[in-house]
Amino acid sequence: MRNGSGRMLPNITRRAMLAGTAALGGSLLLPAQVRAQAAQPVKGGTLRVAMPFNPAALDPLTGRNNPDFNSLFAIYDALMDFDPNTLELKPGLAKSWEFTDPTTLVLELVEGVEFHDGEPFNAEAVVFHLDRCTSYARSNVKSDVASIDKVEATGPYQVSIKLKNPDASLPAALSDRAGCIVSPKSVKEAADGNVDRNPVGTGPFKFVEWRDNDLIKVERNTNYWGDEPYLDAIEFRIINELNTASRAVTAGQADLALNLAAQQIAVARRDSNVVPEAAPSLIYYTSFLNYKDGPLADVKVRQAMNWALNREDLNRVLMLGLGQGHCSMFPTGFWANDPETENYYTHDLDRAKKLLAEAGHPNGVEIETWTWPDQAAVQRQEVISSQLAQAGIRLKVTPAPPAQAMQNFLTDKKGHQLLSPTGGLPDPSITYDRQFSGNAYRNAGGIELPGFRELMDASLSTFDQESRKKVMYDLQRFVLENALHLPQYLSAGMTVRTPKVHEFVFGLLNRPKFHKVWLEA
Amino acid sequence: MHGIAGMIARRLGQLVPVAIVATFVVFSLVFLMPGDPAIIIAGEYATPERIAEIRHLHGFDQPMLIQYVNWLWKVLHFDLGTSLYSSEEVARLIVDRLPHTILLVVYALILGAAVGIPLGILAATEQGSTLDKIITTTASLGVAIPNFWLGIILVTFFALTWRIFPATGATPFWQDPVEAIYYATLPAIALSTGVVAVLARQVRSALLEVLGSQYIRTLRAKGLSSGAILWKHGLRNVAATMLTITGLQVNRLFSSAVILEAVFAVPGVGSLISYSALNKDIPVVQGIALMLVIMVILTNLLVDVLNAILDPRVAAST
Amino acid sequence: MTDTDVTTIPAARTAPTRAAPPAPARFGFWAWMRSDKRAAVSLAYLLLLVATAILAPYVAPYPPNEQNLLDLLMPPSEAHWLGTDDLGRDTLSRLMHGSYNALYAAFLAVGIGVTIGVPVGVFIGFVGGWVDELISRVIDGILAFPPLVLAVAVTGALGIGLTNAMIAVGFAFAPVIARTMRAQTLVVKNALYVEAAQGFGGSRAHLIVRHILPNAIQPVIVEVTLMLAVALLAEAGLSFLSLGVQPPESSWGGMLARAYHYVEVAPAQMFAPGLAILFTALAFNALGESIRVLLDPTIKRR
Repeated sequence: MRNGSGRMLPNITRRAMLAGTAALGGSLLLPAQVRAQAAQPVKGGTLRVAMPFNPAALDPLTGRNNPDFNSLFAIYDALMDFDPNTLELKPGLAKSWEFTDPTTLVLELVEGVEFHDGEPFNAEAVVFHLDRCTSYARSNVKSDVASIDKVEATGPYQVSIKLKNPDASLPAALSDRAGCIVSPKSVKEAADGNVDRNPVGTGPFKFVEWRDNDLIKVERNTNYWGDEPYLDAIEFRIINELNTASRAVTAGQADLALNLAAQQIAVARRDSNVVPEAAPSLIYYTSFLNYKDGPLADVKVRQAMNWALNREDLNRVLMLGLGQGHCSMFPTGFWANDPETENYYTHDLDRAKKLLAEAGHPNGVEIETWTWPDQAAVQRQEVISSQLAQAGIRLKVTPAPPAQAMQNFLTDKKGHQLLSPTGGLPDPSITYDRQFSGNAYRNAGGIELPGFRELMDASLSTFDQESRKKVMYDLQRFVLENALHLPQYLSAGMTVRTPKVHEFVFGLLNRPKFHKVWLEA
Repeated sequence: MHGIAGMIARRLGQLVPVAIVATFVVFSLVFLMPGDPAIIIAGEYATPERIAEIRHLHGFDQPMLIQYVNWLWKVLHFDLGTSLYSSEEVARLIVDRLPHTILLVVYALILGAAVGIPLGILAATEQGSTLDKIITTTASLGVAIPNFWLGIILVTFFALTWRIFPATGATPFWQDPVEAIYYATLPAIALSTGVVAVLARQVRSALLEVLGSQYIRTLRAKGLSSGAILWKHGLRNVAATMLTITGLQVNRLFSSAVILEAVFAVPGVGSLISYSALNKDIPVVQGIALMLVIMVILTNLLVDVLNAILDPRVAAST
Repeated sequence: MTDTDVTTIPAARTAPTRAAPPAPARFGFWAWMRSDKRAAVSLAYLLLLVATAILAPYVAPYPPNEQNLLDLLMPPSEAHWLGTDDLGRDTLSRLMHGSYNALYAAFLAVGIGVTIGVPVGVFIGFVGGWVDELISRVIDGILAFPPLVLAVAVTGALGIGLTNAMIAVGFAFAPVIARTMRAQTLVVKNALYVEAAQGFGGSRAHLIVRHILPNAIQPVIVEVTLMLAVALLAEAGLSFLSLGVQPPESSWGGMLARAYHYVEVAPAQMFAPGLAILFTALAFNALGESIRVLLDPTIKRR
């Protein structure tokens, strides 16, 4: 069938692309930084960013989704900074921190910093902020700082945080939303303390305006406490549709597009004027399972499901090969990921059927499944259903918008599994806690299998990095052996940019920082 | 003129009960939808406690009628509330987004009229010829084609292959009228096909009826030229029909705009309302519903007023 | 969602100026087919469609849900006449199986619209008075709302899926049908009372069933046929918004939605389902127009 000229790839290239050959996948998985940069940074220019999601709020405490972060780190600094590719913590607004004992964290703050509204940044401001995290009615980060008991200013630039229990993940939490310090003055002056739409932080850029679902504009903070940023300003244009966002870069209307999907990368690759990038991400696609009631209470059934999946195919078809098709919750190379158990489950239909038979389902089993109704989610569900069906596991799927699906499965405990992406959290302990702890919202059954709690607590009370890593490995093995969920594949952080944009890194958490980004003239 | 003033008064009087019915219907539908907006508001940080907190904060635990009356009370004080998900004021959201949708709808109407009416006239004057048949068939096509499919085809060819128009997006009209129209052209074309089709057909049949009538035959017998007949008498009578149809199209166009805005990534109210409806962002849905109802009723009123001016008999009966 | 044919709606909004007398329907079927070629072609096409819908499981070259993960988004070839979709499924087979859902969707929506709209319209037209006023206001309220938006809201309330989506569309049709029925009922009622005054007699129910319905229904028949096209387009729209058909079932609208997801990678997939919808809608429209001409005695027969 004839159609527009020039836009169709010849057959072979497309087949190769869709088959996800190594030539495609390999070179794209390197973080952008590693490629040689010969040019010298240039000051000036407005970076035009296209992103598909309108933030829920620009107050780090009241926002709620990962993509909100695209603009947050331009406006706010967090107490801790982090390396975007390893998540190793670095000094931020706290120039150093130390656990003086397992339940006391002491922060030494940077001096001479001012908020965008001129107010001084000091221990008092941090105390005010952390108290707000725990007590503000609209604060969504209470669970991040749940371990905090009391925060005190023990010096003009020193803060002591007393914890209810040991929490080795707290510094990482303080590199994230909870640690993005909001100007106390702005909160006190705002009606109802609501600064959702008028953010004031200490970041390299100052907030200028936010036209809802249209544009967020920030400009250089000439009073920045660190090196001044190279960019004059950043315009975040909100373009709800992914193809449109990507096309904005190809057409020259934007310099950078964020949060894209595999299709846009595939299309952008045809254009030699833009640079598509797909780097490892902490977001993974899985199913939340109810392992307390129903057919999934039997570990053999859960294991059978895990053996029935062909994760490489899932990665190839759904991510066009740009993700990682293994069963860990973390990408290959991440410190908390155990390479030995990364492929604990491989594609083994016989094993799946055998386990099902042992579990008392020789003729297969039906699993009631919730999924979201958008095309990408539906597509995922179709491939997974088809794979599981080959082992006799039949999915009875009900699509519903996220509010309904989550209410039905997680609140009302109806059905057996919910297909959903998750992850993207700054510390692995938080990731395990959010999904598998007894009181975790995403744990539909609400139970913890024996052995989990000890490992979970150990991950929070082990402070030595090497020992903590071993605990993480144990946790990974525990989750996999008990098949607590149905991991499918890891996502990738996908962006498209023009070659004029330098030093941009999307990072594992997809939380970009624009401090060092510069635009070629 | 008393007839027209009376009609206006009567219709404006009907506006309030109709608006209440419409918004109540919408409210109950969205309310009865299963699903808990508190979960979405909590987002990645959802815990059972947080969700309960949010429910209480927003008054979700109150009975439906009370929540509706609360909303109605605020509306009477000109407060449309704030979106549950973006904390933006609903009035603000509408003011920011409505112009995009209106631009599309008006643009489509103008295009539709500019193409449809001449086609209809042509078909009527050349009745029975091949041209007439072609026009009639094209008109049928216009009504049968899925707008968004046409939109995607237009994008594939006119935007992606031959880079004549931008593929997606929109610019606010007040910011840059020329660019706004440039961006809105492809979606407006896709949106206008139904209008072209309906106008062409209706103008053709109305004109045929008039031209074949006794009155016109008399004029012809008296020696008036065809052109004069067409312009002065034929079109005058047809104008009423054209206006009515155009007015009726507005509602339909808003409907189609919902999907077209999704295809062309236009940040209008169409795309907002379907997202909000499905995610139970009740303040936004209610606000847009109210505004749409008012606009449609006012548009119909405008059309009827114009009709009444053209033909006073109409005022008496509506 | 396109509007139904608009001539009936102005008739309902302004006072009807002429009565719609009962049509003789003496014009035989084959004569009708001979006189209107477009109607003949349309009817033939629709019959072919029905046949495809029923016979698809036996006639389609591949199972519609068979995924073939090595042959994604292939262009048309000997093995796959219309190519494959994003999961390697044969587009032609999915198209053929989808015809069942297309017809089901259209007739369900129109069926619901008629089931609700006709009785309501006749009732309020017949009864008149404040009941008529009240319900007409409610109808105005519902009609003031763009129909697709209403359908989105109702589908959300009922739950996503093809059946619920088409019930929602049916709810959006009902007020329009009710209005038309009401207008026609008024016309017929007035004519009847004249006859009744001449000693016709009989109970009210008798009046409704034997006289009002058959006479008032004719414009609705035309409207209904045209609405089949609208319902089809509505299904496409709702599936495009991911509210309609849910996998693994295929519907033309659903195929369009998925193809749009890949429109820049493989634009060819947009054509087959779009054309199927277009042709079927055209056929319904042509048939509806032809029936209108058939039933209108004032139009000269050629």
